[in-house]
Amino acid sequence: MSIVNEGFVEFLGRRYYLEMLRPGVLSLVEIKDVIESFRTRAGQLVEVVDLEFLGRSLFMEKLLMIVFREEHIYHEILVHPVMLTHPSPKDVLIIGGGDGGALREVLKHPSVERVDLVELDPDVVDLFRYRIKDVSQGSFESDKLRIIFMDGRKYVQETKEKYDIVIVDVNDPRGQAKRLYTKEFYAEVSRILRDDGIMVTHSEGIYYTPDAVLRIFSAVKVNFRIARLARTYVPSFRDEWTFSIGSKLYDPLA
Amino acid sequence: MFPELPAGSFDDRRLNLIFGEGRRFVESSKDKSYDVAIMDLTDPKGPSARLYTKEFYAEVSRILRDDGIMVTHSEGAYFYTDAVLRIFSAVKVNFRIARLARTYVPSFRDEWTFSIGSKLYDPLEADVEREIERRGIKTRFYNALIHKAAFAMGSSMEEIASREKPNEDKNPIEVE
Repeated sequence: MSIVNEGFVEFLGRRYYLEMLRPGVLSLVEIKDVIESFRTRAGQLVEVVDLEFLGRSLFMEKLLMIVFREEHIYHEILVHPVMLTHPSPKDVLIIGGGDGGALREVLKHPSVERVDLVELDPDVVDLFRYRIKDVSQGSFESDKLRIIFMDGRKYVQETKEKYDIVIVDVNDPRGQAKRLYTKEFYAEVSRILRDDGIMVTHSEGIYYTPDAVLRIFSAVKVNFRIARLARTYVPSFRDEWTFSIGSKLYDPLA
Repeated sequence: MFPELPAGSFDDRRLNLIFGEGRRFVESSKDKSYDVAIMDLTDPKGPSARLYTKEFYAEVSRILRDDGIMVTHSEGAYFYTDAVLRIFSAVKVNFRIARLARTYVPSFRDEWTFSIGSKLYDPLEADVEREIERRGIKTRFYNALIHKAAFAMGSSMEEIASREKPNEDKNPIEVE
């Protein structure tokens, strides 16, 4: 086997997707079918494939983002701990989340009056709103939703809106997404949260990328009175995935 | 060769080291000989497949005292769900109390499960915090919170497993 790049490789007469979990650790999953493969106008490589065993899945920028049959694990633990810690979340901001999974979970909370979803990539929303509806399950049609297509960091810096909850559900810190995992960005997030507001971001895997986990969590922590790290095993990421929570008043543990 | 692994425990005077096949040893042991039985075998493949069956756990139950407890590791929840359910079910049919614990084990790249069978004590009711303190146990990962988290399931595995056919001597499961 000779490997030039991450992505499709042939090995022992079968076709696999090769993904780098971290330098020195690679993953190979067998591909049955390629359903869609395109580059969005915002420049992101999107590949929807049917995998042996894992089933229908989505790779973005050559990283496995969604295994459809188990995406509820990630989206439920991303959304509900912060939403339930706040006694009555009304205004919610989702940064990223173009698949509609976080949105779907947020809308389950009856107190929610308004959800702003700020997504960089209209083509990703198109894909999940109109062509692959398994994740969003109609949530893009909610009257409470406003979709804003722009860079999440720029939106947070410029907006005059205030929120009860901010959920950061963006690509792993690679390329342009890196700017949405910094101390300076979370300071801006804190500014647009109300005095009892809470934020959460996913913050990478504990075992394969512990440095990233600690540095992201620390960047949240310096900006909030209460900071908690949650974690759960997410099979498609093959690691215990972490979620960094920053809160101004309510403690998820209390 | 790997002196750091058992930390000198092979030199403990309380140890009785027996070289033999585990199933035969259990079958030839007297009733009610042990308080705790721990199965820490290779995955069910080849000769070890016989140590994950309903019939084997019945023998384990026989050599446990009336308040005895057993545990076996029972494969990964996501990549070998069938094996997990069938092994757990094989434990469950032999014990009044059966619990499935799980924790992510990085080297196995899955949430690894542990099937517990107990005649009297329920792991969900154990005051492990007090017991760890009282016994002066030092650990690197396990603590009372991890104990609690290990039994937290997104859905009731016990219930799902009760619908599953127990792993049996006839055609025992083997993992790839």
